[in-house]
Amino acid sequence: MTILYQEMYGRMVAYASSVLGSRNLAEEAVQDTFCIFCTKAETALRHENPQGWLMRTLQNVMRNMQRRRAAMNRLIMQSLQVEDLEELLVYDQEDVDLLYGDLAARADFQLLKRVVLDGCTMLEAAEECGISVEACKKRIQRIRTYLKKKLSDF
Amino acid sequence: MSAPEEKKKREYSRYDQMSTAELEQLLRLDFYGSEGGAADLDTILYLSDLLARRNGPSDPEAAWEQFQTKYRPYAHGRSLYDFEDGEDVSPAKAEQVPPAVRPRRTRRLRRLAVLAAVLAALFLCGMAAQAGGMDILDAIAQWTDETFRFTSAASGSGTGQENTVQYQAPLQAVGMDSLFPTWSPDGFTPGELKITELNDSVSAHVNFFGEDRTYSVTIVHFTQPTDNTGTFEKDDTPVEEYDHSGQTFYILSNIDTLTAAAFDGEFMTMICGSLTREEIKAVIDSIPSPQALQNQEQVQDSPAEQG
Repeated sequence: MTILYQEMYGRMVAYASSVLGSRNLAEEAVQDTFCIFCTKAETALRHENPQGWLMRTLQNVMRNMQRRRAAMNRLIMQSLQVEDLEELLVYDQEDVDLLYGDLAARADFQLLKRVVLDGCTMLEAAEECGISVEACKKRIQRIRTYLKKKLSDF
Repeated sequence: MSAPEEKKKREYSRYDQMSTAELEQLLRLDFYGSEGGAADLDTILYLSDLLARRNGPSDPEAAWEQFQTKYRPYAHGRSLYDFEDGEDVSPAKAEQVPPAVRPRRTRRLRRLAVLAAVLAALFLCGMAAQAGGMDILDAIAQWTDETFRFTSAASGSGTGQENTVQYQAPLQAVGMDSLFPTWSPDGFTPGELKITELNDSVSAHVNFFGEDRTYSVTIVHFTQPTDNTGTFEKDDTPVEEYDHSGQTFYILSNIDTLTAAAFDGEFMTMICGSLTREEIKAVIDSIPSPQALQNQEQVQDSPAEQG
């Protein structure tokens, strides 16, 4: 696994940089691809063409990444057009940060904007907030689900 | 070396001659033109390897360390961008694997070669598209500044509006008729108009041929939002900003060619080739301004009203 990583990392970043136009996003797409590889390692390492497996998985990761980012971009733009943005950005679920609900929503919205509008990677945004990549993903998932529901109610 | 290996080496050698920007654009075109992953992975691996070697050493050790500490602990078999709501992506596809043997390889190589030809046509003189490092939102904000400028004196001595009259209908069909320059310097004749439709963009391209010089006009309509408009190669001459009808054209020099590029977040206009600064500005000035189009319509309407 380590050998394959060292062998493929440079190539995969070069390919992803060409497609995504951003070195940082390319590096994240490659790391994301190896995360998937880890969970499928038994199958992938036994495959007759592990390099091909990685490149094809990288392609699919990049497609997912771009679709999601485009969808989130539309969501943010739609949210910003809502007149009562402040009202929109208040969590009203009982189980979410009961005491600090409104602040949490605004912070998550800023996180979403950093990732989508500013083009930050999940890792960059996570490090800015002092949280893990997984926590960053969860927060983004939470705010986008919330915004989608709220916007559909408007 | 076996015959197939020799043939393969010959087929790939063409890529060695391409510039880095061209290779990157080729991979990008292939990616966006192959939904479902039809491209030949051997070729992609070859091109990626070529680019990686040209880009110099990456730092796989540091990346590996970051992978082990920041990403791997949270690897659950789903992409970072899969949010478990089943919307518009198919996570199961992420680990779909290509067959090791690809009988359609030759056809796919040909397909890349066709893309290479399109690329060469699109980016004459070895230049590949790009609004380098420009943030779309910033660009839109910047381009809303109105400026006023008299048309360059040189614009009176060129070929005139005959240039694009023949292209009016096809350009109109793709919504670009009002974006195309209507003037070219003396001695240049336009070639064929080429319209290329990809998944997320439509581009119109015309080469102009002079006695010993050429230039091209390319307009790309990005039909989906993108922050990826490509990269221009340039030398260290300062970039000049040139305003025309409220839109800023960035004039870039690359040894013996000039490129003028403008992007409004949807349409990217590129004029590229062996032109002087005065000539390229005159070509830009011949792009109809909204005010000029309005005046033209009024002039056309007047006789009808009088009649």
